[in-house]
Amino acid sequence: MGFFSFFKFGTTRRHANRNAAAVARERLQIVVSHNTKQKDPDFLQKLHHELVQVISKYVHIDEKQIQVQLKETGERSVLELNVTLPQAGEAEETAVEKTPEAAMA
Amino acid sequence: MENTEKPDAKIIVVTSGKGGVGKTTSSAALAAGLALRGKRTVVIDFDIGLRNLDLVMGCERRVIYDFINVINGDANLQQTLIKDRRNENLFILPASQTRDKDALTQEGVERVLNDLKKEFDFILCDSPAGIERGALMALYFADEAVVVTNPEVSSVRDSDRILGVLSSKSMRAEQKKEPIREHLLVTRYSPARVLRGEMLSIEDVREILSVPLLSVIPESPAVLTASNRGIPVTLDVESDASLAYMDAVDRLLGKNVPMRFIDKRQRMPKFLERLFTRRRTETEHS
Repeated sequence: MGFFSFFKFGTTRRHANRNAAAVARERLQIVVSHNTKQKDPDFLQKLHHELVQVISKYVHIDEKQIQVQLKETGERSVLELNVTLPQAGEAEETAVEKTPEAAMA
Repeated sequence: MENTEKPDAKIIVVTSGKGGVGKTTSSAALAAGLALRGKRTVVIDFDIGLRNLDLVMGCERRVIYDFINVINGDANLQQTLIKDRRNENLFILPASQTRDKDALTQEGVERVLNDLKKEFDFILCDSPAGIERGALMALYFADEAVVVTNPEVSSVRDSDRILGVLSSKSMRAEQKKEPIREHLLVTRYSPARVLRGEMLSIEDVREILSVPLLSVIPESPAVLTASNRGIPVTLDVESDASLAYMDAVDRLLGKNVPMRFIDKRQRMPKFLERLFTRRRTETEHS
């Protein structure tokens, strides 16, 4: 029993330490600009593609029913997302705004 | 000191946002390294009020006039520039110890830089921490930027912030000229800790900041030793850090040099070497 608990303690501690850098990486990816990701020209395309995949899990749609646009006005960037959901005879639109960072001067 | 055909000096700002990550150490090391490679180099301390480049370079007792004196016309460059005693290509323009930040005007800085451009190949601007006046002045006229970053959350975030400032508040940005060429300098890197998952890896930092990597400076006792002695790391006894800095210098000069100190296995023999030599005088402890 003692032997096993030693092992467990060792693994847990090592596991916690091993996670530390991964945790840091994740936290930074959330907190750090959008600026750098947006320099990637494929950014919108990749985002669009992934959004189609996610929404398709819940509603059957195709690529044309989602529009993603990045608008930059001065200091703020607005990511505009339009999703047209198929309803019998109706179309529903949802717009999502995202204003990352910005006012930190 | 007349030069008709010489191209203007390249202005490189060494900045970070975060304090204490190695800007002054790196400014001194890079400036000295460029001088070693035969380039006439001047390094300017932009930290008005908290002068420390002179200390790190060992010329603190030779400071008579400073940057603000030159801007105000109290002294000229020739009276103010301190020539390094170890290398004839290396000069220092020290910061003021007592003035307030408003003494640093954009017109004044521009005038001084224009005078220096004619005499030197490289002008390094050692920026203070933060994003206030001193830091903004240091980066405003830059052609290139070395963004010093520790593999640590605050430093990475602040580096990202300073990158934003570089691309929006510099002269090149304001005048819509070719943007400042950015370089990432990772300092205080420990391959062993990265392998254990305790420290962000180079790839992590690169992915988050998206800036070309200039060099990786390992965590090294050589840095403290060098500043204690008032010698730039690259002019001191050869060390892992000095080699990494010289690689950075060579890359700034356009040479293609493979990265070192990223692979832990490369370090092991040296570490063991140092372990054995140190143990002679130290008592062993587990």
